[in-house]
Amino acid sequence: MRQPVANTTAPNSAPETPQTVSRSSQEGSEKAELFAHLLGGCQRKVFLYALGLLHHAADAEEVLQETNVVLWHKFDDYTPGTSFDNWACRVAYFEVLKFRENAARDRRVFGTPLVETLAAEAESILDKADQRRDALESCLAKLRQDDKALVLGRYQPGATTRSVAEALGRSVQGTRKSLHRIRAALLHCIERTIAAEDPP
Amino acid sequence: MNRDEGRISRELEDLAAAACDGELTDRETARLETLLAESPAARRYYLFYLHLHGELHWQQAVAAERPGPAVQTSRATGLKPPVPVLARAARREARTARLRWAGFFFSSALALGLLVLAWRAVPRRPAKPPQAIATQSQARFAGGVHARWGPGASAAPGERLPAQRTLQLSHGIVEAGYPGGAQLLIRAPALFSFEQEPILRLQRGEMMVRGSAADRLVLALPGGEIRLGAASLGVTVRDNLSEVHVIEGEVTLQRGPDAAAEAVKAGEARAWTRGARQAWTAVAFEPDRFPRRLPERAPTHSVAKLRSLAAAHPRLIHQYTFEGTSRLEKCRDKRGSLHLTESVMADGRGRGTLDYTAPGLDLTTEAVRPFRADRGGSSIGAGLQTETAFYPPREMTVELLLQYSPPGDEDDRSVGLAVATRNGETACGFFVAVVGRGYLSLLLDAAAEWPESGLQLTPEHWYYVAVTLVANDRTTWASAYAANLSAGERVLGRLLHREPLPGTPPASRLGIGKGFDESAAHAYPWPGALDEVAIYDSALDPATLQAHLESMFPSEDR
Repeated sequence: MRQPVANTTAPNSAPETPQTVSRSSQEGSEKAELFAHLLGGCQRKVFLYALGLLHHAADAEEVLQETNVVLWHKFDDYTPGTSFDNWACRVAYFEVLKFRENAARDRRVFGTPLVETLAAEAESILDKADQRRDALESCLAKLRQDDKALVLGRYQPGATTRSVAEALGRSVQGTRKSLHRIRAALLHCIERTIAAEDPP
Repeated sequence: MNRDEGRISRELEDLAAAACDGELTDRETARLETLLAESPAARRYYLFYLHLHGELHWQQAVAAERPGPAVQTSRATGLKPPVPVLARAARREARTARLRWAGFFFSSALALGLLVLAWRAVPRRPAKPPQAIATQSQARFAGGVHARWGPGASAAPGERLPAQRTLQLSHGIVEAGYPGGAQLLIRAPALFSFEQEPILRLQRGEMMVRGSAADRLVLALPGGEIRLGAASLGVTVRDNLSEVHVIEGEVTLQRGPDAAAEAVKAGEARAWTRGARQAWTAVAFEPDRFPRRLPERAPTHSVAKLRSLAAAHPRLIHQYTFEGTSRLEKCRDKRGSLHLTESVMADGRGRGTLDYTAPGLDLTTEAVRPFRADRGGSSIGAGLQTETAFYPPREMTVELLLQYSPPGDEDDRSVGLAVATRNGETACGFFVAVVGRGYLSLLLDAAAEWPESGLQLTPEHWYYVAVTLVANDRTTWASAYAANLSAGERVLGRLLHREPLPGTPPASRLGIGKGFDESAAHAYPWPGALDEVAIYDSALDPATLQAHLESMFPSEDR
């Protein structure tokens, strides 16, 4: 089993002296550009990774924010040429653990052994994240108009199953079942699409 | 997997769906953990399910971060990568000083980098058909009154409205127009979407449509389609029941792709239910149900008028209007300094939230809706209370608008409190309460009987309620008045007239939409909505209260 490992306890602690700051502003700008470029490519993946471990989108967003800050602080530790996404996910893993510690005061959370297992298995799923996303787009297009409107309405920022149910004048339970049915159909469609693209 | 595979699979599905909604109880979380720990297949399903949930969440979050109605550009080749998250990070209040500085530095550096790289980042993905959310309809937003869009939707007058994206209008009324002159008036609550072609899909709500020959508008309703030229009509969709009232001209109604189109003329109305075999039924023509124009922003008769009357009263000491653009403002005491703060009941919040933007009686107001759990609701939920103690004056009036929604666990012993104080086992100031199955009452001594007001609240109806109290050392003389606003009652009904009640109003924090149990723990959240709570240090006379009630009705109808 692959365990996410990251050096999150050894920050790049060299103090930033005036000399290092003035050494080259161009260097700093290039670093920021490179970082922004790499970060841009991993945001969705890190979010999905954290969501798999925390199962709550708002929590995963918060972990993503924290992870971004840590990534910036530790960017000097990153080895160019290696996978920035994997490095970001490893950092996110430790942020998830930290987040869980705080969340555990208010509610039950998954135990560390399960989180470790999920983290390892999530990485393999995320390897095909782009393929699954493309499949999702084509599967969404195949949905009935009503189903599509329902599921997209549910995922508008701030919307909940309850708010969508109220807006539609339907019961929360019925709306939840409908959403689950649509998600199940999308999952099935994604699997079929990927299977068709990657025949055994 | 074993022979229980089917059962486990369904349970796992339910738990995964609940996890997506953030509604897993601790027990369910434990059960889900067990299922996932036991089975690699379960973990795989769970991760795929969450992955899908995350993709949908991410896509819509990215879409919604685009300013206003989406603008199609020549470079719209797919969803942009991380800008929204970073932008959101910059907006969020950092939780610690360390994170604030780090976030500031981080955002500044990224803003520079992203500006340079934005155009390079977008085309990195292989070209895909643009997301539906990036397209625009031909309809332009013309204006609105007290309009509040749902999450992810917003528009400024003159802007084109997005196509193929569900728009939710949660409050107010809006107007939109097509280039050929067709006009739409849409009243909240409504859920609808536009196509790039002049097609409007109404999933829920009410609208008035004035068509034009040039636009050849098509209205797609659940289970039916209407084509109109220069006709005008009113349309409603509620619970899959669609109604069309043709006011001018003639429209064509088609119940399905294979069904024959039928003409509906001015003065006729049709209704149908999605999925029903019957094509349609003729219903009474009711053109007056539909708005003809945008209403006045501040009509002379409204809750806003009541608010201003109350504010002008010299004996007003506390006023909670729940108006404002922030929670802080909504919770502000508009007259005194007893501001409100959210309070969770003794046995927890119950996974519900207090709604600060609940629809009020009319468009000029917003109400609050405390949360009361369906089970164990007396001690589970959320309400509001003052930050510091309220000392009831010897003479006082409590006035408010309230709406009662029967709780899931309603029985003969149910108690919900709209305005209350408490000090110890017996001293309670339950100034406005609902007891049993919707009976309005009040109580000042927990050991005493609830006085019978004789008013059983009609569920979901808005009421104007006023209670006056005059206390001496042991006894309080209470009068209570009410009028059912939703039923159009314009004369105040007297429920109690100088009724001597044992006890006097005790001092404590003032609960709005909640109260306190015998140990003064947070309890009895109000089931329903509350608005315009005003407290006066005088027992207002019935004529004044009647004037307050009348302020909410148009003068010509008095």
